[in-house]
Amino acid sequence: MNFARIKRMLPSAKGLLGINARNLNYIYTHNRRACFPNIDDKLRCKNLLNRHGIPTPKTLGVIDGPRTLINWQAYLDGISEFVIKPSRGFGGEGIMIVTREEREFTNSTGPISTDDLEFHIMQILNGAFSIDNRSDTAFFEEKLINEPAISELISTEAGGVADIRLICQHHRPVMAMLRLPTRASAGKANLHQGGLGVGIDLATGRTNGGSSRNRIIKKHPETGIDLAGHTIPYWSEIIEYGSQISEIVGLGYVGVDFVCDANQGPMVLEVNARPGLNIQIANQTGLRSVLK
Amino acid sequence: MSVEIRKHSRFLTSIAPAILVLIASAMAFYKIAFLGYNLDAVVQSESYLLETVIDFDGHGSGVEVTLALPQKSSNQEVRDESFGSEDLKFGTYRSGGNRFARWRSDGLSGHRQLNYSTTVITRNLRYVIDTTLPTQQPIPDEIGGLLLADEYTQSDHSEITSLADSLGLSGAKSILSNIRTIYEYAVDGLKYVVYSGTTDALTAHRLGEASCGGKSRLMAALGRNSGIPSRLVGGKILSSGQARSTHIWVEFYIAGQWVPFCPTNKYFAEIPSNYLILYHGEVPLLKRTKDINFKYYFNLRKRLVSQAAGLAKLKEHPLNILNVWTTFKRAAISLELLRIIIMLPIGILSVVVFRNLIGVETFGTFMPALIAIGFRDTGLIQGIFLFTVILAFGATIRVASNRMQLLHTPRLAIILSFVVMFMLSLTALGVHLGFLNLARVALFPMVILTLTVERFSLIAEESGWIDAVRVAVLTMLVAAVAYGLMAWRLLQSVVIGFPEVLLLVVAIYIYIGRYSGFRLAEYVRFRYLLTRPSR
Repeated sequence: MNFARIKRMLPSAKGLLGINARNLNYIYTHNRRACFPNIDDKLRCKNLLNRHGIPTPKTLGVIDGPRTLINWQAYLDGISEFVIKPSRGFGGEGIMIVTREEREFTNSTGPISTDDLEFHIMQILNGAFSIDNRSDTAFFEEKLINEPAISELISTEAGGVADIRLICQHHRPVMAMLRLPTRASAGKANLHQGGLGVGIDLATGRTNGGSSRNRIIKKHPETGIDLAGHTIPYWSEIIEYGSQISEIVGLGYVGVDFVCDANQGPMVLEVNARPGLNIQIANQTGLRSVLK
Repeated sequence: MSVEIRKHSRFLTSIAPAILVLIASAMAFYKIAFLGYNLDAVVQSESYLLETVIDFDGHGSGVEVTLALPQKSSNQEVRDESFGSEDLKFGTYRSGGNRFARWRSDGLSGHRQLNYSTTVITRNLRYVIDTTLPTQQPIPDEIGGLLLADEYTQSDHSEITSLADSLGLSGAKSILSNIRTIYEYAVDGLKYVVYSGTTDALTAHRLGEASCGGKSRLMAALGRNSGIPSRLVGGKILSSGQARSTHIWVEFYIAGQWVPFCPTNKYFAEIPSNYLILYHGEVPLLKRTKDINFKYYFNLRKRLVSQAAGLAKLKEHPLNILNVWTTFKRAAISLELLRIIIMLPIGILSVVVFRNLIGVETFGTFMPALIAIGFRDTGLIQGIFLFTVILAFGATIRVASNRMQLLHTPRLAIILSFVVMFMLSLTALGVHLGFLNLARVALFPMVILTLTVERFSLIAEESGWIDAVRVAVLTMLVAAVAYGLMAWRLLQSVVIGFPEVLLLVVAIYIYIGRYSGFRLAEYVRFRYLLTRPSR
């Protein structure tokens, strides 16, 4: 192995971005701490985005104290599927997807009593899942449904909602990927839990291959479908919304998570101030080569 | 909302480390050049904390316990002695050149524990014996008795005399050649066996085998038989840990001084640095009233102490940090605690390097360093073992409490309570079984352990037990390295003598803090991108 070949193999030669460089050159310089609450608090973030005309999943009810806690079931009249979320949660902790038939509730692990649901809400209020363990607010959110073009890519037993991660530097989208839940990830789209990352060409919105954990893959390991060549629906809207987010939340380097809902089109699920780096594997491209 | 880009101060990040290095070197230079600092003065010598624990039960009648105590001599220093006596009368006295502690009571019932602890510093001493020294030498009256036979050293017995004759001791010209003959016979002529009772010189000779006591007594018998005053030495071989065994060697009176020989571990006219003298002659180390269900053990712990001479030399200097330590000592802050505090910024280096340069995932940022502090009391291996046991216990409690679905903070409090109870039981068990290192588990940082249990359980719940165990192992690894740095004796001495070293450490942290290169783990993470051509 000669020196030139080693040099070609260095991460910097591939334009890859590491954690140290991401923190030093993008997060610390682009993202002011004072603006973090704009996104750490999901309810606040949703309000902020809605005011600027960016759609987010509908909030069905907010539980922020004893009065709302006593009447929590009143928010759910006529709702058969909903999500319970902590407003200042992090890493997806404390999120519970619930389906309801009359007075019977079911979550991912099976039937759940109203007492247990209420206990989970109390846990959220007590700050068990909040980013700094301070007391928190819980809210109910409508459950989104995958756009058919996207649900085709998910194995039927996996369930769960796919999302699209768009990394933006100021108003400029720089890289995107589709995250697919798998059986292995138990319906979650988190990459480190076994979800698939599928790279997306920014200009066309077409997928161009994928990744599983840290590996590059061509076909979906569970369905065998070729991961490249699929067009993401509503791509121009996603790019349009994404390019406004940075200015709205006051952060210069963000990861925006979209869901393409079958009925309502693209919506922003949440905004992340420390977007992960595995998007580079999904796209087989380094972030350094596209960032300014 | 406006989005601005903040730049770091290139000026500050480049000038700050330089200033820190400059200040540190200037201070060190000033102290070395003008205050007479040198490493010899600040490097601390090894010492041992010797703890003797005596347990017994009184049955209403009188009790007396006597313990031989180490004394200052040319090869050893004895410092900071303390005695625990409970309700017994206590005093020390001298007898026959030895020093003893005596505990007495006219009548007591129930369990009592007596303690003696001291810090001892021992050093190696070699003696040179003049080759021309004749076999006849002037012998002062007061040691003339040490030429005579006694119960265990039957130097006048006919079998000993004929052994002396067969070794040719009477015909030798110099005392040195006689001593060498006796020593070699004790080393090679007698087989070494482990035997815990008292073997006298004659028995050792008849059996042709002996332990340290028998070998030494036979040497003494042959010495006395050929006109050299000889005495036994009882002591301990210093090494960390706990034991009841003592060691015996012998001293010959040669040209006005007592010269040590150890036929068991083969030291000729030399006392090694790990020998501690407790008494001379046929003296029991411990004497006590019968029928009191008596138990005892020694525990030894290696630690560092400042050399008295070095301390005294530096005492006058105004910038002397050692004076500061003395001040702290007056405020009843232990030197050990200060040593932990001052080494912490260096221990953290392990955390920073593993996190930012290697990319290792641990429980919490500084948790490994805090765990390392816990290891200081238990030692590394036992520390890791105890930590694992407590973590496993805590995780079990966590799983059990999980099924009750408790609120976050009370659940943490429950884990903490059980961790405390578990640790106290371990301590009680340790004291009962006589494992002092186990007993010291009580000094483990409990809150840290509780938080570790919580993190461990969370990771186990979210990503599985394999992941949780992996992070636990990595945390332990980082903690072990931090412990290694903090317990490194030479480094400790340097930092205590030159605390300005900490400024250099800060400079290192500034450099690592601006390192935007890849972490080692990222080469693994991105390996599939690195080995194929860029798109």
